[in-house]
Amino acid sequence: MTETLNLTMLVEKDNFEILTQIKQIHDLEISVVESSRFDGDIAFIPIIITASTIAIKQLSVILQVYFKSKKQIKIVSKGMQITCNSVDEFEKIITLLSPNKKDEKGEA
Amino acid sequence: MKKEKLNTYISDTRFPFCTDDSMDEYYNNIFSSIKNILSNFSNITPPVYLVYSLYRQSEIISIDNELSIIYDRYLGETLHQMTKIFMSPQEELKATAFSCKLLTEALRRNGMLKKALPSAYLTQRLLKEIYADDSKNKFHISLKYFEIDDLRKHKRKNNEINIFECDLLTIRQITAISEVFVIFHEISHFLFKKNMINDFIKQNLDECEQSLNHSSTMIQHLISNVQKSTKKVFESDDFRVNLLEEMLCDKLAIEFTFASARNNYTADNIVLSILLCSLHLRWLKQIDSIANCDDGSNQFYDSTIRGYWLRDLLSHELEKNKMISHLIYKSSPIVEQYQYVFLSRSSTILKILNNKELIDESNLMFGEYFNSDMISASVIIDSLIGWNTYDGNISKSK
Repeated sequence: MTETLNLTMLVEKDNFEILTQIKQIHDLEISVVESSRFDGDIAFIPIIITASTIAIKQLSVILQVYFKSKKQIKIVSKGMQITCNSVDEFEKIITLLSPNKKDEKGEA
Repeated sequence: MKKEKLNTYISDTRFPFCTDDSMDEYYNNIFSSIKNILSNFSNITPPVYLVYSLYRQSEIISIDNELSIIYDRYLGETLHQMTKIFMSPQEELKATAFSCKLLTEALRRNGMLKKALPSAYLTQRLLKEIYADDSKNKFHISLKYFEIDDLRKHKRKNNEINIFECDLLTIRQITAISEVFVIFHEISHFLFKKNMINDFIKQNLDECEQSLNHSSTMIQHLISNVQKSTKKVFESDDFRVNLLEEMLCDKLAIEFTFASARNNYTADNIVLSILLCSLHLRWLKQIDSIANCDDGSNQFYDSTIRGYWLRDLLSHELEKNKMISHLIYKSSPIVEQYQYVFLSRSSTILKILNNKELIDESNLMFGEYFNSDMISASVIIDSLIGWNTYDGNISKSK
């Protein structure tokens, strides 16, 4: 059965082109959250991604290019913003957030 | 699907948290008065989602063009506690303990759990010292801290208040007005971005810019040792545009708050509440800066300029209401007392972060939970500062 992941992510405000690329992935839905809070003094825009496991793998490919240009994304989970600077970091966090992951272990 | 996305957003950005579907009378009153004001202004009546979480932010969001207000009751609770502490300046230990608690929460929000342990540990120690006769953490009070019936029973004939002899009832009133102001400020941002207040902006932008230019020149003269890099950020267009938006939203939020609260409260009460609220929010931001290890200089400029602007606006409101008050002058006793009660604690909490003895002691007590398991570590932090969390849910203390 295909697994679906709902994910809140922050992307750098001045990098809208990545959103265009992400939107082209099949089985992936993206919603930009217009927020009175994040738009104020923080340089990131929140987006919500609903995607299958395969689509998430395609997302990794797109992010690889994004990270090469020294850009960051932040994954928001359990009230914390986890910064990702590489695909490895991104994939590690995705594994932890996967709905099939029974135990919730991570580095404190 | 939209609801599902909203739930994802709320649960991802807020943790631990609980939602509160049954809006009680207190928040019902607040939000119906807010919707009343908005309905005179536009046809926006966004649904309200009440949450209670460590995130402690109110927020207006739009997902797939659907507008929602997310309001965190913990913000109201925090403002309430801060006002209580502010009104008892002699109880310095409480101010220190509460500041430590806020620092711990800021670090925990940023995922810096190991770094949060010493301040969490110190918070617990201070609380034990303060409430030696009572094991309950009194900083973490009931969600229903504001019983609407209390207000009805004790409604004053003479609604005047003495700022330094406030009783609990007055503090509750201050909290209620503060919460209204905060929500209106966020709503103003949204109206701003949606180009719905263009006329208001046209009418007020010049005044805003003049105030910004005047304050910034004054601050730069006052501080001769401003670093070049900081000056650069400060003078950047982005910084100024953001600041102007904040200032315009402050102005609109004040107008909305007066329109909403003037039937129940005097202009003096409203002004005092907004002033205290802005000082509280400034202190919370300063603690966030300390937790983020930034030097806070941008935040300093931002909040100082907004502080001057807000006090000018509030003075105008008092003049409009034909009130003469000593509250607003820049050297007012409120600001001085605030400096004494809270702002002077910056150096104390900075020292906590680097206190080797405290770090060693807290590691000895709880370090084993921090080696691999993030959930156990966060539960330890939460319990040390009085949060009762389990599986990401907050147990309500009634």
